[in-house]
Amino acid sequence: MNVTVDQRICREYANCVIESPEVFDLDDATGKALVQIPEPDAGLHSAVRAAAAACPVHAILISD
Amino acid sequence: MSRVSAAERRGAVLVGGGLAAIAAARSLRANGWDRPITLVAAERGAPYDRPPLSKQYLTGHVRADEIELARSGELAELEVRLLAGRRAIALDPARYTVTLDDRTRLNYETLLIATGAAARRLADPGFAGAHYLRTLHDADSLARALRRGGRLTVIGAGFIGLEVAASARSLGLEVSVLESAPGPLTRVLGADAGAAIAGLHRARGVELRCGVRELELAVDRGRIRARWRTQDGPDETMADTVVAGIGAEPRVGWLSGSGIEVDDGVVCDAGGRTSSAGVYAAGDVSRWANALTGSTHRVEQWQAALEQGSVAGANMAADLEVAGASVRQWASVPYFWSDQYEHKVQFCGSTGPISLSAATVRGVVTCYAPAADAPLSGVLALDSPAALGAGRRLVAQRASWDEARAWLGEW
Repeated sequence: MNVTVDQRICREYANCVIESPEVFDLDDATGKALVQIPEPDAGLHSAVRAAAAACPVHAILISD
Repeated sequence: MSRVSAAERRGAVLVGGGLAAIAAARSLRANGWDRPITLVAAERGAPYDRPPLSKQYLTGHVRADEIELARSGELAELEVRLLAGRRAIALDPARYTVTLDDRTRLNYETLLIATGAAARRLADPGFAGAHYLRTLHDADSLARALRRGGRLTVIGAGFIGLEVAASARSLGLEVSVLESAPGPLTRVLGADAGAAIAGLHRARGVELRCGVRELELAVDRGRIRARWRTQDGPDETMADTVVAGIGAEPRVGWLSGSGIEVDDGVVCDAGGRTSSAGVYAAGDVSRWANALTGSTHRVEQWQAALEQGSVAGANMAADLEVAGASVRQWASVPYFWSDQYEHKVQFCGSTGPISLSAATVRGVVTCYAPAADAPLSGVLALDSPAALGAGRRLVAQRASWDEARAWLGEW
């Protein structure tokens, strides 16, 4: 799994950080979501999928 | 006898054009549903997301086409037939039919009630000019009024009222907020957290009046006079615009006579099933059992609507034994967010009289429990989404108060 956040779309909701605090965090400078683990282990996949679903603006892209 | 085609009779009907209905449509398709899906949306236009209405949309920072719920082309990809600007007026679960306001009758095989909630109206405002904020139309109307500037009176210091207050301040208006409770958000967050949020607003020059009773509104020389009493005596303020954010009521009127059990929302099990076979409900109109927390409260939250729509969609397919569909349960600690000026307020679970706060490097984090020796029930975080994410897991694990206290010390 490969995870990216489209910084142009992100509107700083931070739902991804709630769903998967291991993989996502907010950039202190921009407030936008950052991916801390671009290729997360299988144990994190369901939380990452929940994060993508919980993003109101669909800024999280997952490729398997 | 029926005007509907055989194809429609085999379909799923989703009544409501909001997040829960869109989530159900996605989930139906993800669970192998290959029969028709019809979405009946009361509002015209593309389904849209409501949270920005009190924030970025109200201030003009995003346009309507930027808050659409479905990605461009998504409804077509999902093969969803959208009936926009049509309202369901009656449901007959025994005949598997729903009647629309143009008297069209749709047959269904499985149906989702996702009609959401309507803004609660002032009981007797004394005048008819108060704004409410629930729909895009409401937001456009309020935005036009705010662009004229002047002074805004907000009735109700809940999340919507406070977000509108913050948006109006950022647009340069003078703002008064009137609240009947002793403090803002006390019902949701308790007195301490409510006081912290009150502080954010007072620091921005919002005039916040709590313990307000006997509120009266009247037009006076083209402006609106609000008069009220507090324990300190009578008070009043003049405004150019008044907006009320005093809660929402589930839209269940159209279900009268259907036999569907309604008790502060459509009553659902943890899978979204109502009291009638073939009928499901999700989102603000419904009151679900939560299989994880044991709660049976109505949850008017974005993320709950998303999850419930998704679970209901899966079960609508699975209960009809669609190949590839799996039965699911709603088993999740609900959370929500609110933007107040540059601050991000996030909350998960449920509050309680026992609370403990700690100042972290990013903001204040508060833990809640319903009783002294009960497990952790909720977490509030100011500007600390990572803490909320970790805290939500502790709530899900029913962490003891001692564990919660130790965890709070680590932030």
